[in-house]
Amino acid sequence: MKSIAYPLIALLSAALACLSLLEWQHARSISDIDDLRGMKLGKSALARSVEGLRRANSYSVKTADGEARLFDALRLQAESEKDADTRIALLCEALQHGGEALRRAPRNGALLMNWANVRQTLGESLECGRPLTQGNFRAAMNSAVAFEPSNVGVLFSAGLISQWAGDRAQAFALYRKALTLGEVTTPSQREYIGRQIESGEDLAAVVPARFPQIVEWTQRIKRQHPQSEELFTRTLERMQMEALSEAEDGHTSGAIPQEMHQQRLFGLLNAGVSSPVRQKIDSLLASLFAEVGNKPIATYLTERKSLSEVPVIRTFAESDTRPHKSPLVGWNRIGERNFDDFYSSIGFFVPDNHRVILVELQGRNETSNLSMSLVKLFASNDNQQWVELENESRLESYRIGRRYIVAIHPPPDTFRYWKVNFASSSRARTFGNELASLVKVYSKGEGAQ
Amino acid sequence: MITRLLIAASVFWAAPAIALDSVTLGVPEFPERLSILESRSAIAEYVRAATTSALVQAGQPVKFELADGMSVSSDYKEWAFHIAPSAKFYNGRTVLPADVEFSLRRCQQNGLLGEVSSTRSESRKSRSLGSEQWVVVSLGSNADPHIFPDRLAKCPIVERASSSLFGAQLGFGSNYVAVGDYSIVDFRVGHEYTLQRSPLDSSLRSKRLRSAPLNLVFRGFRDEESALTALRVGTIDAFLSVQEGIISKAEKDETLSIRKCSQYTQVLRRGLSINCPEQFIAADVQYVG
Repeated sequence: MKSIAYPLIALLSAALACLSLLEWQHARSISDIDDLRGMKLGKSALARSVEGLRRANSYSVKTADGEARLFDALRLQAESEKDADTRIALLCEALQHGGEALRRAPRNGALLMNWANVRQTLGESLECGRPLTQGNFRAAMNSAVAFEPSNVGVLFSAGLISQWAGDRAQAFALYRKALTLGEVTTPSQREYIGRQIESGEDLAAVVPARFPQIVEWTQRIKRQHPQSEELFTRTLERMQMEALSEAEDGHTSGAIPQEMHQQRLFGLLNAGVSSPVRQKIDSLLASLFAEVGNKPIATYLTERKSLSEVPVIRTFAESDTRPHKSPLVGWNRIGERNFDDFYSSIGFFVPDNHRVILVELQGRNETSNLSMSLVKLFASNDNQQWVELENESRLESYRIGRRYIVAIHPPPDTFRYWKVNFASSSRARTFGNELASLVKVYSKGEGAQ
Repeated sequence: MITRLLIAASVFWAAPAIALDSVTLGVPEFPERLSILESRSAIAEYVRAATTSALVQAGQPVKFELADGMSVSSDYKEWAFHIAPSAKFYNGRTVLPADVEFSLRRCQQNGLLGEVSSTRSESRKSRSLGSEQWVVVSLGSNADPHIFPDRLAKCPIVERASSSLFGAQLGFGSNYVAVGDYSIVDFRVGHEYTLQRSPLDSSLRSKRLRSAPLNLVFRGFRDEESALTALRVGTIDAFLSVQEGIISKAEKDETLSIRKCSQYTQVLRRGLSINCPEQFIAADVQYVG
């Protein structure tokens, strides 16, 4: 009997061990928290996974990774649990396993942040009655940041935890640290941070005034706050100036190569800047072009830097075959337009007291088939009777910073309504841009932007 | 019974009215300096009605136009409006509380809303809709709140950014950006305004406009005799008259009809229906009967 019983017991033990091993393998394969999230497991499937991990942990030597996996799985199970008591119990168990993981890897920033997150969720006063579950979430968070000061994920999570704890100033300081690390932050993290910015002060607290961040955040602010951009104008202008000074110092000291410096300047210029910033960039670019011996562009930029952009109201007229008679209508339009398209006209209204010194057409592309002889300038004071300023205007074209630019220097008269007409039936459509960028108007008059 | 049902069905299944391509209205000659936003002349009333909108429409009960929510304080001295998120200027930009605030202040300053003491934007929290911006209008102590909505209906909402730059030129020629069924596509000062129906979308407003003319032309006439001749030869579809002699000539013409407006008599091609300038609704311009 015994001779049969021993092999049978051995066989059964081996089968059980195999089963446990299989279960452990299965648990391992879906143990990563992101895998679990991605699988969108039902409540019972989640519970089975957690159970599998629990068993796997009990059958193997405890490691930081194993404890961390169980910690994450329990957190996920708690998220899906509606009953408050069960949820707290699961979070407490998670916290204990998080603590176990930290005992084995005490300088792991991500683990510390996750532990702090769960501790914060449970509230400081709730006692779990389990080992390694009591402690201050702020202390854990600060330790994580201290251990991994360059880990963007840790910094971002610490910012979130601070924000949830009501400490907006600390949250913003942490976001700033994360953003200072540049491109390492993910687009969704930057999107989230952008949504927390409600004023110029917020912007200054969060965004570092340096390249390349200043370019992206100038664009982001314009995109996220199209109607309340003026709230940020001054702060943005100050930050852009600071970034430009730092970049100039870097270029002068040789730390930033000329090509990169130039690209950064064009990047900021095309992101949309106020007149003082644009003048500063023009000045820096003029020096760069002079350095490489490109005198025409250096001269043009030197002239432009002395002018201020005039705020005008723009419009666009398609098929304007009678530009000397047709009035401008449909003001302040938005959207992309092609200038070299069957007698198109770009029109603008200039507020009082501004004498137009320079009209600049700026295409989106570096090249264009646009011929200067087809560009006609008209002006009017009543939007009815138009005069062509053909002989008195000076037209030039440049390729500056991957943009094709047509510069029109009108005669020294003051007009209220202006129209630039493409005098051809050609439909080449090689010179187009967003209407606000397609035409810019410059003046020396006071009150210009 | 079957006949009744058929009649009822034919009412519902009647073919939709076909939009007229273009309708031209003769109006008294107008001055070269004419503010479409301010003037009480017939041409300004017509163009304003077709190219602008207010927060609410005139009449009781209050019907929303650009607003989609309203609240009134218990003493009727404070009126708050929520702007419909779908409200857009003809250039495609969304109408924002700042635009409404600017427009109401403008109407307050020019006396159109003299009873308003202040206008401000306010953030209000709703449990299901989150934080929303409302425009709050406070009325002065002597204001009559019962006539306020009708007066508000006369205050066109214009875009703040462009209006500020137009400055003293706002409202003249084509110098305004508003929300309207039509937009100005051409004009000759003192003589003519040509309006074009805004592109139709799937909104209720568009459904209402489907039968409206594609183009509306308002042409100024120095003398009514030439307006009557233009109507008879078919270059215009209606005109406004104040001369008894012209009106009696029109009455005798079987191809024409007349309609009394407050200070004018409308002389129209028979079958054409156009509201008087003060109640002008472009969608109602159509041939009937």
